[in-house]
This record gives sequence, structure tokens and C-alpha cells, in this order.
Amino acid sequence: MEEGKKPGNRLKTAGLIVACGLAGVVAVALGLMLADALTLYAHESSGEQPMLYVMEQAAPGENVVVPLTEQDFEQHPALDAVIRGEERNPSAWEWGSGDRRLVGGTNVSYAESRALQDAYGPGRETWVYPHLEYEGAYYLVVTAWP
Amino acid sequence: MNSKSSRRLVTIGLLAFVSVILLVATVVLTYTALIALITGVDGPPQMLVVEVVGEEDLQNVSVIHLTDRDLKQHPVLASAIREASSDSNVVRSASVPMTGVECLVLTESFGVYTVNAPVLEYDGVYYATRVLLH
Repeated sequence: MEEGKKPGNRLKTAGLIVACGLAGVVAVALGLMLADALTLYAHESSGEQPMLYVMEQAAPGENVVVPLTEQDFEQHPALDAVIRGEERNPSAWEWGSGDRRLVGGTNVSYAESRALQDAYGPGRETWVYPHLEYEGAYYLVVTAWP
Repeated sequence: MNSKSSRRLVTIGLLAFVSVILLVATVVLTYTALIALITGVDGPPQMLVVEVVGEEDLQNVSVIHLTDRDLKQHPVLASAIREASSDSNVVRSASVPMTGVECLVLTESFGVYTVNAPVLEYDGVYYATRVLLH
């Protein structure tokens, strides 16, 4: 009788361990999401707002070039406003590196600034910014957190 | 007895699940706060210094005329100019902390971190700018 129970018990124990492991992984993921949400909430409640800046580069160099589509502008109205809307306020090519100028900037929420950074920010391995191409011009998207 | 012990097991499991969530969130938040505290001890690495200058200092210097929109798009520059030009400010200069991105953007727009930086004009007042690195 005792011997007959053993395989079932082992299976039960194995199942319990796997379930605990999976629950642990889910709990860690939920913990990370909670921390992220709390951080975002704290920033949003601070009353300060990040800025989105778009710079134009004279030539793309060896950076990755990503064409901007209408879908990008629909998903990120702030980007639309800066590149071709009311927030476009280009500076002269004269200052700084000379082959770069500021196209414009606008206030964005923390969530939006993170979404923009994820979509158009530097690659996580290379830390090189992609150049966004639109109507023959090359753009860089940067965000400033206060 | 059996259902009692399995109910207890479920309760312990749920408690452990919630505890792990809270523990991970606390560790991540503490780590983030510590990093912010450590890197923020000396303030951001750059300071934008703005100083009111007279018209006699404008010889051989480029002048950029600032618009309201420029100031709206550059809150750091706006607060420095506001502070430097306020009547209560006797020394007529102000230094405001800024991030690396803001420094880059102000340099590309108004040459604040360049040799022979241009003078900025707003509302009839001229401002010389420079950047201090910590």
C-alpha cells in the first residue's frame, strides 16, 4: 500500500514545485510592473513634465535609418506636432556640431516620453540613436526628464 | 482535516505570492531611489549660467533674438532668464541646473556651450550664457 502511493506523491510534489516556480516568476513580474507603475505615478504627480525634442541631422552617417510613416505620427501626436505641426520651430545650423539643428520641442507626459524613447530611442545594446527619415530629412528623437 | 490543511496551504501560498510581489517592488523602488540619491548628491552635472549684459558688450558678438515660443520650448532657459532679470536679483545673473539632453539641445539651438557663445536677447534685455560642469 505504502509503495503504491509513492509515484502519486512524487508527481504531486513535482507539480507543486513547478506551480510554486511559475507563481514565483509571475510574482516577480508583477512586482516589477508594480514598481514601474508606482515610479510613473510618482513622476506624474510631481507636476513637472518631460520635454520631447527633435533634432535634424544633415546626413544619416552610419546610423540605422528608420522611415517615419503616417502610423508613427498617428501613434505619437507630439512627434507630429514637432516635425510638421505647430511646435516646429527650427534653429539655425550654425551652433553646436554644425551638422545638426533643433527642429522643435514640446511637453509630453512621462508615459508618452517613455513610449517615444522605447520606439525611437537608442538601441539597448549599441546605445546608438536611429535616424528617422521623413521627406528626405533625418531626425533624432530625445527626451529630457526634469 | 485534509481540506483544512489544503486551505491553509492555499492561504500560505497566496500570502507568499503577494509578499514576493511587494518585496520585488520595494527592492526595485529602493534601488531606483538610491541611484537617484547618489547621482543627485551634487546635482545634475551641468549648470546653465545666464548673465545680463549691456549693449556695449555686443561688439563682434552674434545676437539671437528669443521668442516666447523659444522660451516655452526651453523651460531651463526660461527660468534662468526669469531669475536673472528679476528686480530682486542684484547681481543680474542666474545659474540653473540642467540635464545633459537639455545642454545638448540648448547648444544646438543657441550655442550655449560653444566658444564665442552668442548673446541672447529677450524683451530688450541681452543675456550672455555659459555652462558650468561639476
